[in-house]
Amino acid sequence: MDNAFMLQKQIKENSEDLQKEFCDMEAWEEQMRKKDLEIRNMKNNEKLPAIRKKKKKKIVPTPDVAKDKKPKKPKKCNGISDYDAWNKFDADEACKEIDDSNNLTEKKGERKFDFEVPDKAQLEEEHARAVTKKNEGNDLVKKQQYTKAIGKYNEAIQIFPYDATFFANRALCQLKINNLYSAEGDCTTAIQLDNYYVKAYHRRATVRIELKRYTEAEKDIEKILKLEPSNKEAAYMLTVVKKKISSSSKMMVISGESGNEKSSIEKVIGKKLVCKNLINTKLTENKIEKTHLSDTKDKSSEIKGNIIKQSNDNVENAKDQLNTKLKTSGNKYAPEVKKPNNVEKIFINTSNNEKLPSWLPKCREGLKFVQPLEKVTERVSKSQILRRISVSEVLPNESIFKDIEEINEEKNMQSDVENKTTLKINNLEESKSSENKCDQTVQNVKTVSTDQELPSWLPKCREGISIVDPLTNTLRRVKQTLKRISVSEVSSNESIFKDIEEINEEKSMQSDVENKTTLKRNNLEELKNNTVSVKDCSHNTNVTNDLPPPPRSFVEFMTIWRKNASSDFRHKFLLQITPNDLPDIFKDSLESNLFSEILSILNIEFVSNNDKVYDLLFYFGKVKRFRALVLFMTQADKKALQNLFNYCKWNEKKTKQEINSLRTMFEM
Amino acid sequence: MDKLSKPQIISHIEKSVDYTIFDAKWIPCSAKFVIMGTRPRGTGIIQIYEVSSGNLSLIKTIDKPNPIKCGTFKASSLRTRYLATGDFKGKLQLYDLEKPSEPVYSANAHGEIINAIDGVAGDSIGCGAPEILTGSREGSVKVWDIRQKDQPVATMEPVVGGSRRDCWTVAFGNSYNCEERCVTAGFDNGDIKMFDLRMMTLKWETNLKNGVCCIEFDRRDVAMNKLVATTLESKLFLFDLRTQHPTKGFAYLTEKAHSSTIWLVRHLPQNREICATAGGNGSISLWKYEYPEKRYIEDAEGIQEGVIGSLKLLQQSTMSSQPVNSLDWSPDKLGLAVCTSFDQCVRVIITTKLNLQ
Repeated sequence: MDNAFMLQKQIKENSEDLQKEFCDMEAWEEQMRKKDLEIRNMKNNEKLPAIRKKKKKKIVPTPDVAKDKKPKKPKKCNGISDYDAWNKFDADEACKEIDDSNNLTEKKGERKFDFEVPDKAQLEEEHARAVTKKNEGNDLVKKQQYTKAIGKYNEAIQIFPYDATFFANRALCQLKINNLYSAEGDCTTAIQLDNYYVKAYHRRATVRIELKRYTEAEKDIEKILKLEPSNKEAAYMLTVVKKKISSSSKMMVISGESGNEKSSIEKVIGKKLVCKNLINTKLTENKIEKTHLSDTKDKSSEIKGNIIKQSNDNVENAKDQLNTKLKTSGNKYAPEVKKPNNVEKIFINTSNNEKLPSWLPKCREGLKFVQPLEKVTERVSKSQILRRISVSEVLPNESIFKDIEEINEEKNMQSDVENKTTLKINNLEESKSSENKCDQTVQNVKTVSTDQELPSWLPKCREGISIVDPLTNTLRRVKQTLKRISVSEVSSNESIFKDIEEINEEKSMQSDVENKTTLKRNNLEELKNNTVSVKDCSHNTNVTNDLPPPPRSFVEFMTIWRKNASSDFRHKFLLQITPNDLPDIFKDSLESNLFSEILSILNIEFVSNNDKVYDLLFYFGKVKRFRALVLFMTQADKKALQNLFNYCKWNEKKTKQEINSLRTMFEM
Repeated sequence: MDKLSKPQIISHIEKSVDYTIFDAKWIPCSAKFVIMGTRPRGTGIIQIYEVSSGNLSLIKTIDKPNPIKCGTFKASSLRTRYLATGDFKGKLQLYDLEKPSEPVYSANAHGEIINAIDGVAGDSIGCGAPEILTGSREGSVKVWDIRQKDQPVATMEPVVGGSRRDCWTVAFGNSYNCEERCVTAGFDNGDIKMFDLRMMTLKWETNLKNGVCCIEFDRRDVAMNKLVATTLESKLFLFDLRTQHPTKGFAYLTEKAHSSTIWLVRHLPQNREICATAGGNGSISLWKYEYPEKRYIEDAEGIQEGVIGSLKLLQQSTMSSQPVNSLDWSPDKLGLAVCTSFDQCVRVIITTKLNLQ
């Protein structure tokens, strides 16, 4: 009673539920339609396909940028300072990104938009802000408050990380407070942003002289001279550096030029003085730059005066050098004027926005740079390294069914006689068990050897990993475009489901169809238990080693069949198949052309090897839809069959009755 | 009685078409879905349908030269909603359904049919780049980034000269941050392989004895939690991926269902403990996973070993006389799904009482 009532209630509730669901559906449909429309409108505003193209463009030049700058880094600058520069870059960019995402979390598309095509007005505004910060910093430099000035430059860089002058100025301050490595890093960054930035090279050369890395300094000075052949100061520095290089190589020899009784210590002092002077000139450079920015040519004369004042303060030893500097200081302005031309050139190269201010190309370069560090990046590589991790096949050493054997044996006792003793999967079993018995037979040795091959992919893959430098590894997969992992089959004994197999085995005992297979297996177990001679097993193992295991399905059969077209292989492969499995394997998939292929193999290979064909033919006859196949047999097939029948008659000593049954089967 | 108090699977709308359907997918953020397949004459077809007040209205029919085997929206953002498809000739193509005449992206991904496709990170932020995964009959699995033309960003393929197994299913997972990402592939010989895309190594492999028809992580964008694999011969495996024992691997459980091939498994987007499986006998089953009290135990040497929970069958209902070959839960409405089967029918199904669980 109660139950019936509950049932009724439940049914009622369910139908109400359903009703509600349907009502919901309609509301939901309406809601979705609105949402869909919204999204579509959004899309139209954003013009997304264009962005993708732009992105692609941006990525294409990246390798070029890398080519330009990468070689320098490892060679010329210190790794640590370089990383510093990178880190700064990253942090700034990350901040920017976070800002962006905070502002536009919901409209991520827009965020991308911002990031990809920096809004001109916004960038200009940022640049202006950054320049004011920089000017503040410059004032502080004048007051010789270098650490505070660095702070200002940091702010400037944070606001606008694409202007080389900020980095160059910061480098100067770092130099002043003797932070040589940071100074070098900043110079490198400045150079990366502006390839034609003479002052940055100059500063880096100074730093490197200071760091006693003369060969690198020499390269920088050479670069300056390349950009400005008339730069006498650089020429002078070059001679100094060259002297240093030669003296450092000679070490103990006191050169005649250096004066009468100058000890090496004195030399060092002299060097330092030279450097000081260089630094001074740098300061003046800085000023020149400022004046350049404020676009007052008139000031250049003042600066000259400045230099003179400062030079007066300097030690007498350096006077000669100063003179030369004074001469060059006039020249120095010229390259400054030149620079914009260069910039323009870059500009045209990078194309697209010709109307943008001169600093923009740099910024675009900067963007390219940053992109690799950006978090959501694609895996496009600069260098297309093919990485390949090959996974080789694990060979079966142990029987899958080992665990089950015992159970099966027990069951086997109960199994009926009707089970035909067949071989099916169990060539393998046989060989395996025998393997176990005769400790290490041929196959064992073979498998061991292949096992040794197995790890071959392991070192490779580790190699692959070690190639990736830590920075890129953590941030992106970009560098490693084409990655490959080779796939191979898991051998069945690898399976963790051994125990499942057990259960299945038990279950299958209950079901009729599956019964057969287990019984077959049992028979095999029996076979195993009956002593198998060592010779046999070695023979078997050879076969199994060369050949794939007998197929369990038509798909498997076809893959193996197609894999190797040699008749010898196919012959061996067919030999492996237990004839009475044929109907199971082929089910209703056997096609006439495949069948004629098989027939020709039987006719040629089997006959020539004196192998038995009767059973095979007989069970082919039991394959489903066989009659259809017979209909489509060609004349050649029929001939082959005739041959085979004769062969059965004479070689296999089959009775006439048996042959006749075959004939009727094949409708001959 | 007992059955009635459980979630009910109801076929809401049924529509038969005049071609074979291979895959159906909801268009995110809409009441529309696409079905893909092959016409009797051997050309490909994509159709877009909209659910409107108890009926299906055909929005668009797109004809393509090659039959289309599979498709996904998982790698494209909500704004674009490009459909990535894999066809019989091994082509990976990305279509803008608004302008479907020319693909947005096209690559000759494989030499043979693309059996399975998956995408990741299309609409979620902070879990890496959007990528497409394809698996083919030729045995290789490839990862694609549509920003890179023609070439995959990662390839997993059989050793040269080794036997090439037919790859039937692929899935992305473990993509919980920008670097980590896993690819799992199932093969016709029962192999399952899990690759770590960050390290580019094989992370784990096993053999399930029967061809693996479908693999799915419960979520793509969380640290890998569960993996369900379905096979021929009506078996279903569930792996707990939280704890990997150095020798025993992952803890797992197995179930028998559908008494035929289990064609696919699909987790509910709104609740990752519930999944649906579809069988060769045309039935759909609804499962719920229940976690064990402790997800791992430590053995004598202090090595952690996963503990598997239990899988409970919530409901089973027969939809068709033919195998159900695709099913897709709507990401926008709980309990709404579309499924197709070989009887050339597409069905919109509603499942009630899913949130009571």
